[in-house]
Amino acid sequence: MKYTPVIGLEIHIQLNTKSKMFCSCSNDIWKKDPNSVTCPTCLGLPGALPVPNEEAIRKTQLLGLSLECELNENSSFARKNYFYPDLPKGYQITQFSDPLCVNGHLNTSLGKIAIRRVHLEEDTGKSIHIKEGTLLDFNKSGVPLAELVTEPDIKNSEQAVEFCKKIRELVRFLDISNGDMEKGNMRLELNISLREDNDKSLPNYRVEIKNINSFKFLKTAIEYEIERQEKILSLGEKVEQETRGWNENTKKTVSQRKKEMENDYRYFPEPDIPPMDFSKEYFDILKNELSAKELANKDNSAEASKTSKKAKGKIEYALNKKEELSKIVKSVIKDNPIPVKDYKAGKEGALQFLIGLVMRKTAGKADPKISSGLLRSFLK
Amino acid sequence: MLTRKEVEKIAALSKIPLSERELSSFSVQLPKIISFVENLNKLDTKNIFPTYQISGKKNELRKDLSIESLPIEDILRNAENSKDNYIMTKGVLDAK
Amino acid sequence: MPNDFLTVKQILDGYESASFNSKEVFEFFYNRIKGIDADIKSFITVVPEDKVCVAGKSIPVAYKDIFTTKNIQTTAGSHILRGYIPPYNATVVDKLSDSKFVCAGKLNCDAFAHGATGENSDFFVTKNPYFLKKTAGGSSSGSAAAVAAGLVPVATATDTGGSIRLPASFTNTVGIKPTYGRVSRYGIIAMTSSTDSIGHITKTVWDNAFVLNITAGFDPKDATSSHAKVPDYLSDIDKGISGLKIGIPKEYLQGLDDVVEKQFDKSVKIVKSLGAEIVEVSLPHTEYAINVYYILTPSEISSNLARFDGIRFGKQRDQFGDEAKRRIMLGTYSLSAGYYDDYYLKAQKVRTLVIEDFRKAFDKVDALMAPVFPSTVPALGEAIVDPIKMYMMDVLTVPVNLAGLPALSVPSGFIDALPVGIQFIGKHFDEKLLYRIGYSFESETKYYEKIPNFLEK
Repeated sequence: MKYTPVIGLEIHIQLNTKSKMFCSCSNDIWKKDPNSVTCPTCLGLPGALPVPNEEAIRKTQLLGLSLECELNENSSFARKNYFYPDLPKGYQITQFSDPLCVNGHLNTSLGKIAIRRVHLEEDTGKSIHIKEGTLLDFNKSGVPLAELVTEPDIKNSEQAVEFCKKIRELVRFLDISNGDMEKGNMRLELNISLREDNDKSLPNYRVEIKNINSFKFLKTAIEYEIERQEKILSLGEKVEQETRGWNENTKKTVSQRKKEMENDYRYFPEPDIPPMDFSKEYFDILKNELSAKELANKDNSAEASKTSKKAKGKIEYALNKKEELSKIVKSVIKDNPIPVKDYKAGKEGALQFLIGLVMRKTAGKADPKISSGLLRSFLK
Repeated sequence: MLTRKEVEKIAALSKIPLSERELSSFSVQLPKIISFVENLNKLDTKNIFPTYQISGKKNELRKDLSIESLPIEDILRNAENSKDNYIMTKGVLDAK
Repeated sequence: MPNDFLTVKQILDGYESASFNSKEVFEFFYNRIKGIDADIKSFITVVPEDKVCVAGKSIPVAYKDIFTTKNIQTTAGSHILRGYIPPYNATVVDKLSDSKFVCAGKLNCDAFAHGATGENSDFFVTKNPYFLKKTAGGSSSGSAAAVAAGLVPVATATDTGGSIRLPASFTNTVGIKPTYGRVSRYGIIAMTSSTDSIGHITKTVWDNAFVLNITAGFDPKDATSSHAKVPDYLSDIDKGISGLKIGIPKEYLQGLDDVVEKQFDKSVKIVKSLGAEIVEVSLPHTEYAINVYYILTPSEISSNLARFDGIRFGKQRDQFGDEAKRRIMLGTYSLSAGYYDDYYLKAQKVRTLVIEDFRKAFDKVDALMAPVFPSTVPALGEAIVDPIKMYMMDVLTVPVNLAGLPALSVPSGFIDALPVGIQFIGKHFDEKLLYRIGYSFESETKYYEKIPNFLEK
């Protein structure tokens, strides 16, 4: 009897905004003194209220777009209720029924991995267990987290690692996170079960594995767990549905203390935060920002390749001659009065949109930096 | 009808420690209150949209700017236990 | 110092004419607090007289003890927060302080604002200055009693299901429940996030409008607060109500005690005599509003009180009083898997129906007029015996909260020497019209002139 692993990943990405998710505390908390970066809101003091960070929303949507997700026009926050000392309000503000991004995918060398959703939520504080009890540092409480959930499409440990590495590369490229696993910028959880090779349906159980903080351990944990589950199933027994923690010292997954009843999070819509309604124009600006970034990136790697450089050299040189490019930039400005107005009103995103249009008109040949400079000087 | 066992479960989920006396009296009171609110079952609301917020507001977002945080003395002042600027809670905890 | 009572207007006029100064005003009120509050028990914390800054033309204010006051104990009327010293001010506290209102103390209330008589306070029970054996109403019991007894000219309060209108109507005072979102909730210990309305109690309508001019307005720290422009609530306050259409919801007249119905009729006649046209309207889902409220409120409470875990502040959760425990468990039940659709979701759907009732009524009229409570002021010990009896005290007040509408409770006379009030209900953000109606009614009736029996010499 052969078994095929069925693996899904949940990745939490700390966003690199300037301030926290629901308050104006600084988001730069690395190596700060305990409890030195908090306020009534992220400390959960009585009477405090949350106000969402627009940049965290934008960064999450950029991530979703780059993963070919649909962006929900209507989205809102919800409360996930449970008790834990590092969760100051006794609930986490997260998203439930209408996340920011849904139904995307990422290609790997072993095939496409479908992405169920990317949503936005707040991080908890940090707890350190000592003999006398637990020490709590709330600096991390309220840090914005983008949570990415895949479908259980991952087939083995190599693909899982490749997927995570690509995500890390992506968040760095998009400049939405440092993606540093040692600093906790990116945290991995996986769901793993085995199905029989001749069985098309999904297994009727899932084991959740937590506490994986490196790609090396991701690979080892998956391989250990596949072996562990294989042993149980081949004996004709059932694998227990549970949460297990990766122990990097013993290199094993260990059962976490089971609770008598399933945690009932009692999700309900967050009454303190009005829902969000995104316009098509806003989505277009995001899309163009992404295009501009991707084209700029492609351009740089093209320049690294000597042969393509030679071939395109003459045309690029011509286009980067200021007169040619200036004509194109001027026509883009003429044809797009609304983004021009927005940029003049201070919306930087509108400039990205215009750069994207210039790139399109030049089939990606223009230098985005020069285009940006021209746009700025014409629109002064 | 809400049984005593269910009341116990709800109290545990709500993290409300109950004495025997309280468990007994709440096991009598809570079902009565639930019956009282079940008056709503008389209404057919199949095609009605729920109202979660009455402000009618949308998109109240904050610019990504940071300001000074609270001084550490203010954080620790009301905590029952603290140690080296950490807030401390005693007792053993289940892993999350 | 005129008589035993000083209104905000009298204080401002006195400063203007240099008849007295701040020091004298504060001495006046502190003497009253010292002499009277031992019998009324409206204050939980009195700011020591030597700590109060009375520079310039300051006016004393007292805050319901769910308003967070920096460096001043804030208890929410509960054992859980006894000794809690907040490190920040509620926005309303900052706004009043910037307008020279100085905090004289924190006022008693039902613990976490759960209650309609003040008897759920973990500290002590506030008495009604008009009859010490009767309740001052709740949950803003201390706020109403302190103003009624002339211990402060204005007391802040909150109305989530009637907690300003009920005590105001029991104590011959004026209470505003503003439109939801009109006044910032930042720094107010949350009960029901989607209906908590931040208001205040005063002796007169003019005073009340004066204070709303200060507290109203958008707050970037409260995402649910409104961007609607704040008018000057005092301008046009004496314009009169000739030609206005005032609706009386017929469902609100059912189940009233005879004496309450008679007194209400008298008030309706007065409103008519002032030039308004009385119209009968119907709010058919009125009877269900109280059921909706007692599903939604415990649901949000169960979540809002989850932060009280005894770690960063406060005592352990076993210190919650009975009513808080009841509501938390009811809320957990209504939100839990398998029950959410039948309770929480169902309640929010019926809420839509309640809101629609009001919308239709306001197509026909400018404002509504209704009683606040179906009986006369209850005696202490009467309602507390049965949770449902306590909940039913809110039957004429909660529909307004579910719809987020503004309402002004004004004195409407006395039944056996006990105060009775009426409420004027307006369209969203139409507090200005409510003040106009209230001022007109008050100028005609002058019920505020009758001082509490307890203080009669």
